[in-house]
Amino acid sequence: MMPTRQFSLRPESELLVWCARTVVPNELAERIRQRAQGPLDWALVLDLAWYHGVGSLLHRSLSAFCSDLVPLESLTQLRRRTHAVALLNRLLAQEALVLCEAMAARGVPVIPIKGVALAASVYGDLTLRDFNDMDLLVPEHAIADAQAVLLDAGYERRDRSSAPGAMDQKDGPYYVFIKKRMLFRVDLQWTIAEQNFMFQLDRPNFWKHRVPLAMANTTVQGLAPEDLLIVLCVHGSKHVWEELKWVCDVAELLRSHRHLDWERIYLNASAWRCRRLVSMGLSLAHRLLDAPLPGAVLARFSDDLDVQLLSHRMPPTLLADRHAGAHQSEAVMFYFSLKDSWWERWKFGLTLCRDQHPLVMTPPAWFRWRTSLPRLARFVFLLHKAVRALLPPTIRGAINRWVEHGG
Amino acid sequence: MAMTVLNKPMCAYLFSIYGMRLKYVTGSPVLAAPVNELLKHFRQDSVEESTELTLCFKDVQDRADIPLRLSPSARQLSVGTGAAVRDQPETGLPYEVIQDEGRLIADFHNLGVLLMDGVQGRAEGYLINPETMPANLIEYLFHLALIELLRHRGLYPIHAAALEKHGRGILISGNSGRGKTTSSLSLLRSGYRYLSDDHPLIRDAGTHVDVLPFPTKINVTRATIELFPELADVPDHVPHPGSRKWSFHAEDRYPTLIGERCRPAMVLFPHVADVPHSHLELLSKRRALELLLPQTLLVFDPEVARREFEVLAKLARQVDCYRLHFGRDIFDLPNLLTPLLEQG
Repeated sequence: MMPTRQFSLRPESELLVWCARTVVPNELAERIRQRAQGPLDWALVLDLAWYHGVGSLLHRSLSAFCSDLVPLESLTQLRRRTHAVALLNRLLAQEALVLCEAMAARGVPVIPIKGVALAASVYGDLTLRDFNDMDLLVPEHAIADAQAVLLDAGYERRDRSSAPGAMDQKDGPYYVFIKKRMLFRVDLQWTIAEQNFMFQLDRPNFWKHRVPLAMANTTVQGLAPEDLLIVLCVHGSKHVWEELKWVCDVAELLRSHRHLDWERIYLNASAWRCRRLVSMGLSLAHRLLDAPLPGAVLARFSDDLDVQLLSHRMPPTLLADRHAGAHQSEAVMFYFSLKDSWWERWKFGLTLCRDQHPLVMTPPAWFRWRTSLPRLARFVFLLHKAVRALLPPTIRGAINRWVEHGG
Repeated sequence: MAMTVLNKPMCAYLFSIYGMRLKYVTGSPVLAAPVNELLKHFRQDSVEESTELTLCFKDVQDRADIPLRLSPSARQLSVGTGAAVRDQPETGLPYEVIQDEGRLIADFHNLGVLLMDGVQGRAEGYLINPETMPANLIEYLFHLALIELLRHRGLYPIHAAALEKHGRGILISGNSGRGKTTSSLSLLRSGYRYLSDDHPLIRDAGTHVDVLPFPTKINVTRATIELFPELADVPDHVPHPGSRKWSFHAEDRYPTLIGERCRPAMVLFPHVADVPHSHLELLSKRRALELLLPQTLLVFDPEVARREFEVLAKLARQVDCYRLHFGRDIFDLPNLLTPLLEQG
């Protein structure tokens, strides 16, 4: 049974959501056919598909279930771009393998994460997952060695401020490399970070539980599916689930790995303070894409009001009323809402108030604390003023450190 | 059965396309006129050396008159409608592409057949009753045969508008309805030079990729004409019952010359955005190539496809690629692009 939605999707978005999966049951295929016969803005369907990184999945489903109903020009455009994506993905995957082998030869531990690894391990098809670059997880202590491998392979380090999309990457501590005279881009990563958001990727657990990952007739080391699920949920949350492909990643992981160790997932997620971010990803994948989840897992977040409220509001560009959505520009309020504990939430809130973050005084409509947080901000402002007048800088610095590093 | 390809006296028309000597042979004025219009900037009065490319188009009265014989090894490569070839409505034709030994056969059923041999540099076209066809359809079929031959000689068409300023080129790529023509008109009226409305050629020049002019008439819609006062009196024609088209030569409307071969510095992928001001979003090289490839992908020879892919990848590396969110400030587009082009 389809979970009911609090905010409706526009018809084009609904079609996209139905098609953006590798397994389409008969009943859903019939619904896709019915929708394709109705009035649809096909240009919008295609635009949404590419924006959300699910063009190849859309092409696959439309071709399978209703190629006779889709305007030929739209289907042709979709097919041609899908072919281009497939060609480039294969090239990128080959390059990722070459780099993994070169790193292994130099004794640098490496795990390909996200795009290429997901396409291989979760989608089972390199051509179905849209990816733009290679994300390689390396231990922080091995960054210099990894850089040396990339430089030897003809890459050069790029200033991220000049890279496409740099405006969205405010302070993520990772390095970008571009291969000279080529099209490949490598991101060396050891954390997932954004302004006001940080998650350590270089964790002993991740290295310890690595699993073999079959990719283009060879094998590399990948994250265990339990760890991958956490990483996907944290990464999607970092971006406030702005793109459907991140929800698809979670849904496809759940479809392709039916026997996950849920105790381990929730134990680690709690220890790493991302339990509710994981719940958020699971809720979205279940609600939007019918991802299979055991009843016991659903029960873990069925009474989490924030998870339930927010999972109706994302991705915002799919909603009939975009203003009802939670947007990436409101990310700090999203992070605040999904802190695992009351204490973590208000400590984060104090930091936002102290920094006079603009959203604190003008929070989004969906924000549950839109009355109390501005009140706290006004109090903190007055307190801050008084403290500045009364206390010397050394004591003020100590208080700041106490707030930022755990009280 | 006697073949009734009409036995008219044949005329040869000579052209030179970037050093490529081309002879077009036809006995039909109906088949000659659109091609001479298409290639008017490449016309040669005489050719001193032997020709490299020969295209011969004939009119026939019936499908059965086309001398098409397939060998047992012939295999179908593609089937569908013309929408897979280009996105203009007049090209929405059922077609079938067949590989038969060295020949590529594009069968347009009741319209005619093209037989192309890229290696030999020869193409034949048999059009059924071409006097009943609109001129732009004849031009389109000839152009298909021509680009198949050019591809084998390292000249690759790309579905884009192309303009030039101070020796630096801009390609504006994308499907119909995305603002491609509107943005190129906005640049033309500000003094950019015209290279092509829809299909410039690109060529590997060793250290870089060049874009080469292929100037044709600019096709516009009524909605586009209403945006540009200088186009108010552009004449229309009716290629099909119920459809009207407007087209003009760039040099007739704008104080511009046809630009010259140049190094492209920027590729734009426009889309019309309902916002007051246009803005640019820098794309990664990978994303740019993903968007460029579908503008050229219909290549049937694997070796030609590989070479074309390499040239496109080189182009993507060479240029800055942007998604143009094309707002309502259409006349201000040069102010947005020119500084980037000049500093690039």
